[in-house]
Amino acid sequence: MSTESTISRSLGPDVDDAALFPVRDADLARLHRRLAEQATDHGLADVAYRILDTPIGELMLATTDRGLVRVAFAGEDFDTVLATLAERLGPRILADPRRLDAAAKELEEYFAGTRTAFDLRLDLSLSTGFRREVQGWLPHIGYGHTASYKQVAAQVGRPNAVRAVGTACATNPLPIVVPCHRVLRSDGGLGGYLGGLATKRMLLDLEQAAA
Amino acid sequence: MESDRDLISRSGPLARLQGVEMRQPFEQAVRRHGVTVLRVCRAVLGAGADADDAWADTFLAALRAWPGLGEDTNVEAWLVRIAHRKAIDVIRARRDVPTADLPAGRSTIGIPGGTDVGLSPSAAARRTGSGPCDVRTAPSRPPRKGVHNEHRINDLPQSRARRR
Repeated sequence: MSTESTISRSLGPDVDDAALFPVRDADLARLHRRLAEQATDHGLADVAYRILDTPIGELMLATTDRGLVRVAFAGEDFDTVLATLAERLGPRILADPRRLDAAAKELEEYFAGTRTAFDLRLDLSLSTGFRREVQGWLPHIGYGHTASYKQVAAQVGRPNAVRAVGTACATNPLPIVVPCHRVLRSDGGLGGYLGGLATKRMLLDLEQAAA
Repeated sequence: MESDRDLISRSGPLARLQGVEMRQPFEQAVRRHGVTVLRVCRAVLGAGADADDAWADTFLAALRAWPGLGEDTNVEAWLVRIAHRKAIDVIRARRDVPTADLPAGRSTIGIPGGTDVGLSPSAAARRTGSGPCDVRTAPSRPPRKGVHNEHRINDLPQSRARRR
């Protein structure tokens, strides 16, 4: 204890820390990257995330060691998304772009029109029950195709649960990768979309053009 | 060396029992307090690889303990305490300068007019110290007018001899 107080006293009471000990952003960025690597090596991070620029705006990608667990739109407020992930999955959350390299690459290919199916391990633990069931079925709707909420309900064996299918789509934690954007109303109307209807339209147009 | 478990037990055992545990994403703590922690490490270790290592040790220990922290923990104060301990651990692990063994306090040796009655000012001026405690506190030449009578280490004979 005496060593510590000696060192503290030697700095003096009026020392201006910021002036005496400037810290460059580059230093912190480097330290942060190293921390993320070491946390991964020690298996300490529950969730790693990255923010990706895309033609539909920024997307937040989050992964556990089981797989991609969350894709969030900028409009969802990433801090709120992180807080929810902390609640549901644990607070040991770190930015670690490397752990999202595969997901980022596949999404970039998707937006470039060169990828029509995702080949990523997914962690579905944010969804449960019927919602999870519906979300598990959605990839059956092929690239460039659509289905109605009613058709999806029939396909999962609950033909009267049309509204619940709508909710399952609206609460999909993995939009784009799990293609809830391919589900429309029976009358052809867009329905709803967490990322906004303009985004839903863009994704459908993208797929139509490339298919 | 304090174990990481001790870090949790100091930060809110009652809060943990009550189930109000840390919910803040750890990333936020790194963002908010990364600079402060780096300054603490550099203040103790200088700006270099040792301070970087102490920074990493601090945040890895904090990450381990994070879920068990009480929600009301003063995170900055907690991190600063960890950083101090990790930085001192680095010092202890160094093999050359045993800085940790320096006594706290001022030496009374060799101060003219002080309690060391055996020395005249000229004897003090000739005395060469033999260890870190024996830094001479008498100026080696009369102070210049208008200049604060501070001890300029580089003016000491030992320093001048080294520079020759």
